[in-house]
Amino acid sequence: MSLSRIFDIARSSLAAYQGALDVTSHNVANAANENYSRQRVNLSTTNPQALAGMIWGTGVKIDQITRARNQLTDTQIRNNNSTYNDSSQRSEILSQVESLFPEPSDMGISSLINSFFNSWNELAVTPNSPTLRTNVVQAAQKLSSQVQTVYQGLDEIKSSLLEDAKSKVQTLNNLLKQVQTLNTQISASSIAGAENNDLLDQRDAVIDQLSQMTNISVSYNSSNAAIISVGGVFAADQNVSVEFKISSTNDNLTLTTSDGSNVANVQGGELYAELDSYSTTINKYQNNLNDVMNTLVDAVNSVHSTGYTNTNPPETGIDFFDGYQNGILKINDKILSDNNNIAVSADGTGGNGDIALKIADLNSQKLLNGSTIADSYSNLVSNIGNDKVSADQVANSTQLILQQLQDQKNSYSGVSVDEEMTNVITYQRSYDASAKLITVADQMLQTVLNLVQ
Amino acid sequence: MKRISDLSISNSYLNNINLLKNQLSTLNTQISTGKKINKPSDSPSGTSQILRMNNQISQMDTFTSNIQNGLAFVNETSFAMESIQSEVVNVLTSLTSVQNAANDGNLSSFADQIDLSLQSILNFANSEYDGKYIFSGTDQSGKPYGYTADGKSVEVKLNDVSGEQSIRLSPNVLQKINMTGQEVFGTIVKQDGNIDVNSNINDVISNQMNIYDAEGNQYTLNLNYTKTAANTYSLSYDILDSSNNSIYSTPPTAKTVVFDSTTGAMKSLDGSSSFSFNINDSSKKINFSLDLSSLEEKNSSSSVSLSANQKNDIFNTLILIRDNLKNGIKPTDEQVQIVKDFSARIVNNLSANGNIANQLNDTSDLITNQQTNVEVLLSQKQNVDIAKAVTQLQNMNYTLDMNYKLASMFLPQSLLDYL
Repeated sequence: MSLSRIFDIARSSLAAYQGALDVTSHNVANAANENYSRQRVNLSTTNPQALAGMIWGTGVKIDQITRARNQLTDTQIRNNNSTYNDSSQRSEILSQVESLFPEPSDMGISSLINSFFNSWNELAVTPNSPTLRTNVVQAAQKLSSQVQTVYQGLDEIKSSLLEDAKSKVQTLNNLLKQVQTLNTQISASSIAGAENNDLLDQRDAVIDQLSQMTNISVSYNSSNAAIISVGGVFAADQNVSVEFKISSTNDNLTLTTSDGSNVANVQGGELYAELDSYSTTINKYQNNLNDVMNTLVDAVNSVHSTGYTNTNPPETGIDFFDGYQNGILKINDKILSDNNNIAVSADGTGGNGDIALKIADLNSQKLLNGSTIADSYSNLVSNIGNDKVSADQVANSTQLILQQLQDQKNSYSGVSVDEEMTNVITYQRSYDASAKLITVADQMLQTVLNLVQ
Repeated sequence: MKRISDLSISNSYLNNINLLKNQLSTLNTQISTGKKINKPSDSPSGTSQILRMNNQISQMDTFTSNIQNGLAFVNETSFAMESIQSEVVNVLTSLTSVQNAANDGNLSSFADQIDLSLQSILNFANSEYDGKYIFSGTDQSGKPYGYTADGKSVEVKLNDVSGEQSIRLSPNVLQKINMTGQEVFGTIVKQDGNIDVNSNINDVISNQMNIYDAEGNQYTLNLNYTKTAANTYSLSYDILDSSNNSIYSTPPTAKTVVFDSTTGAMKSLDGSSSFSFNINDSSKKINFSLDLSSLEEKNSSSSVSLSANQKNDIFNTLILIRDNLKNGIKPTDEQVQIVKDFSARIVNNLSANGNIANQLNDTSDLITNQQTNVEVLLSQKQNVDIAKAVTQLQNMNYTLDMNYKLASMFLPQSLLDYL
């Protein structure tokens, strides 16, 4: 056994601990990087040598640099990401919808419907009063204006949802392209026999972003490439990435491949919230509002047309509203130009307000699915509130789950500066000791050399 | 043992602080608006209840406003009728004085006094309130009463002064607020009795009575009910002069009278639930209402009769008295009785009008109570308990301060500080 072996062992030790300190400094540098997984140095002994009938150790080496990552937690985070981003995006959309309905307040449609019917009740007391007739027209105009504002507001939200969904699909396509590129690089390094931990982290971060946008599934092939499918449609591997687009059919939005051959079954993520809100939720609100207004228009017109105007001669068969369509409540032009054309008399005499009373009575009649017009409208408002509350509740509960999962992930993969500094001390001491060993070996060699002199 | 990374600690602080800030923001909004529910998602069911209560309150405001307007109209009606009554009392005093032989030489001056009262009563009969003629029913196209073209008598200038004006006092209650011209001044011919339910198809049940024009001339009113189907009759009528010539007959189509097959009460008159109609022949100065509401169909022999509330109206009676006095003729007992009957009628109408005013006042009180109750409920549902909210706000502020303090103490620390 020669003294030079001590030098060899100390040299390998210095190299190993320098490498370990490199990894530690990489960890410390990424302590605040959310997408980073801490890396660990696996040290092992170098191959021993048999000499003089004994097995002698030859030192230490870095066997592997691994990243601390829990695949199960990742899968759970992605699943919950999809649910959380769906519900939180839905909650934001519903906040916008809710703000269009200023309820409960005097400016809400509910109050305006009531004011409209009350104005008929007041007109019934003095049917030939020009002021009260003007009040009826003004109440109808206020209602018309507010309904139009709400309906157009819903249309505007739909337009912005469509634009936003299109922009998100662009991002989705870019992310899928990134996955493909990263897959290619990771496969190449895998073939070379080394794990590229930082590339894996990057790819996981991109996949996490995808899971926020929509429901995805991820699997890995033998060359460690991630195979992504979006809503059941193949989307990316190491060779290709599929392009998606938003298709619109009959006011119904779907996510399809760019050639339209495959339709993704989108069931989660921000895209789902936007597509579903556009195609189902907001349409439902608009239809409910249409039902309320159509019922009001039909009921008022059916009574009003039986009444007589305050003109000379009195006329009958006149509708109060010209009609209602897509948020536009149109008051009869004849009434707008001369409020004497409001037909409140049942017998053609100017002091008869029976028709006004009948119209005012419509407010308490159950004309729409067993509810009054005002109650049907407040059901709509209540439904919007309930939808928002349930979206908030799902968002809050999945956020809690996500926080726990993120906490688990951070606990497993996150960098602890305390831990790294402890490692630094350990590795530094080992490095110091190895250096000291060289000094000792050098002194031993010097002693031997002095013997020769 | 669970491994704690630096990100775990900072994320935990951030989550807690965010949660607290969200709660603080909600409380801030509640305190600044004074309301617990500021948008539907704050409480979907609460919003629905608030909308309903707001609608109730707004509706009650309208009812209260209607009642105030109605009361003003009713009070004006009372004032007009009291003024008329005052004139009628003057007339009755004059008529008593006329009977005194000592005044035989002054009949002309009594005629002038009666003429003054007549003009006054006519003016009050055309009283207006808020642009509406008080006694014109629902026809507001002009003054309800005025002189005929020849100036000899007073006639109803409108087609119909019997229209009732009603206001809504609650979702289910309508209240009539006017005394119609027909009720106060008009002649009402009432149909009493019953028709035999077992009568045969085409059987005719007739009755007749004497009626008078504005100048006191006598005519005969004939009413015939012809059975056309079970519980259904065709009503035709005509007016004959003293020579038995028809001067007025049923308009082109006869009226259809239908009785309730179970109760025997009248069910409809020409499809309407109003069981009286006006007969007006201005050329002959005949104007009266025919009231069929008491007519029934019974399981007994037909027996029908007609009666009128007055022989002639107050205006034309006073004209006759005035003109006679001018000619030195004292009023007949029958004419004096007509004036007395009218006086009694006005008193009755004043009483009926007073009942309407009482009803309106009572309802107004009831609505005010209901409104107070709903407002209390609304306040409980909607308004924030400021003291409670401010206390919660202070607690949260304290907790937030603690979080900041802890974060500032622990977040910057690591092993590095001790190396």
